[in-house]
Amino acid sequence: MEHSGSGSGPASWPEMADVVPMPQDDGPSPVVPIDYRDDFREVMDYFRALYFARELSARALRLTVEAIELNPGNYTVWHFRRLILEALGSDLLEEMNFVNEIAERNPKNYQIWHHKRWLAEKLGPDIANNELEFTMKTLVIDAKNYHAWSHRQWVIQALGGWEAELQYCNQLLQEDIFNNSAWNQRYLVITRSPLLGGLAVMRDSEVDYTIEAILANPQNESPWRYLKGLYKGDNNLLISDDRISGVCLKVLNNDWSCVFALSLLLDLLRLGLQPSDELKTTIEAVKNYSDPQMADTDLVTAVCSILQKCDPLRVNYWSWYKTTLSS
Amino acid sequence: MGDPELARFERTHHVAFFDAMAAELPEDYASQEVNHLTLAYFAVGGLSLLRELERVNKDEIAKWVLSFQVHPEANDDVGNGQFFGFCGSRSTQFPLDNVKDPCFNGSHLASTYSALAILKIVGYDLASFDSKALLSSIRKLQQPDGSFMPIHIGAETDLRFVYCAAAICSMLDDWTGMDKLKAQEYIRNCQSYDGGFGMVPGSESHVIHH
Repeated sequence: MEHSGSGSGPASWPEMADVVPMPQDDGPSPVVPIDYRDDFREVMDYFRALYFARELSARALRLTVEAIELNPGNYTVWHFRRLILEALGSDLLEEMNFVNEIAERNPKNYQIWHHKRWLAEKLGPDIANNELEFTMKTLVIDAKNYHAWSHRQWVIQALGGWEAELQYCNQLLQEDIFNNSAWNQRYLVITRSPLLGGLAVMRDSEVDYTIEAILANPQNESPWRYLKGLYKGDNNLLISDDRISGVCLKVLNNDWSCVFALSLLLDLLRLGLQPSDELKTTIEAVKNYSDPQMADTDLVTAVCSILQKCDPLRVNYWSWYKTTLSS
Repeated sequence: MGDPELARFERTHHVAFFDAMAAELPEDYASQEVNHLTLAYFAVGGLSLLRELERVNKDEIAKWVLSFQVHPEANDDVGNGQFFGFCGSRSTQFPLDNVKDPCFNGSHLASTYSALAILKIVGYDLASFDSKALLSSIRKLQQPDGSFMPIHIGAETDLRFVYCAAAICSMLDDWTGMDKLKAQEYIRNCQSYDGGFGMVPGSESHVIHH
């Protein structure tokens, strides 16, 4: 295999002069071959040689940088880099800065985030603030970057940082009340922060917060989901909190076709909510708007029928749901 | 935008695309080379879905896929923590002489899943496949919380790899490699307050995890 040392590749590095590059062995009958560029081949041939020799050296470390540039998803290269860092006793803070630069250009690469976690584990609680700041910057660019959220959740739980997290969620939701990732993070903080006392303690104020969000934007699905989530595993409390059915009725009085309100009402009724007169009147009114010809039925069936009309995307689901109602 | 009635499934274009990919992957895919087997799975799978599998040499493909399998040495302790599955690419595959060094065994759950899927598609009889080491070592990748790590040298653990492990066990019709109860527990823990599933416990529910 010719190695022209095309420009700046490792074949032209003086420190690599004694290394015999190891070509890729594609096997007897390669299928679905990749048309590698020469510079890619060159770097990987040198990587293979050093990896196979288990050479945990400074020059190997430098080579991994080249390999990572070309192929940031190659977990073998990252693994080798970690072995070298440990063998050389490298400065891990510097390494974190290095990987952050790469992460900025490859924000959705699993190996990079895994490397960050490995480093953060070693650096300990002192690095928590840096990691929170880095994920925050990543989320400014892409509010839904799953890796950033995952890393942030891990950092807070493993290294600390609960103190400012609820405020961070408040800020994100102020900027965009539709940000479901922020609602999800809020749920994590409310339920798991050792500083807040747990869901049972936080529930009351959270219900008020969520209802305010619903009333501001009833078409926003996130707070509806969150509201129900606040009562997860506690159906009795859910149906006995007047505010829940209250917000459904309030919304329906303004927008009779709001699917989220109707569907939550349906859930409440199925869980045993005793319908108030106000509820019955509201459903009657909605029935008249949605299908004046609708036959007289019980409340639950009526709401189901209304949903079949108001939520055409899920008409099959509501039809099926109807069949589960006991006669 | 055109009249939606005129929208057609351009079958010949799709076939041509997959056929071309199966013949050779352009250099842009070099940065995905660790997932070489998975890319092959997409190409072969695509052709299969379009009923155009005759365009590829199925025996050659099976032979090629099997060449990625990592076998333990005769007296290797299969329970030593290494996973004996399939590497995803030649770049993570090293000469078998040194397979004793766990660093040189690049077996990966996603590659293994892709490998078995390709073998099934091209009609290879998985019953004749030597899966003993694979099934007994896959268990080593399962974590105390029920999730799976994809590779024994260390990597992120999440729901994707529970799926890969389950698919592998299902295709081989042998579930000894997985503690199903623990896996179920992990899956349940991935369910978000909104009913959907996230990738790890606590994370936002995401369509791809359902």
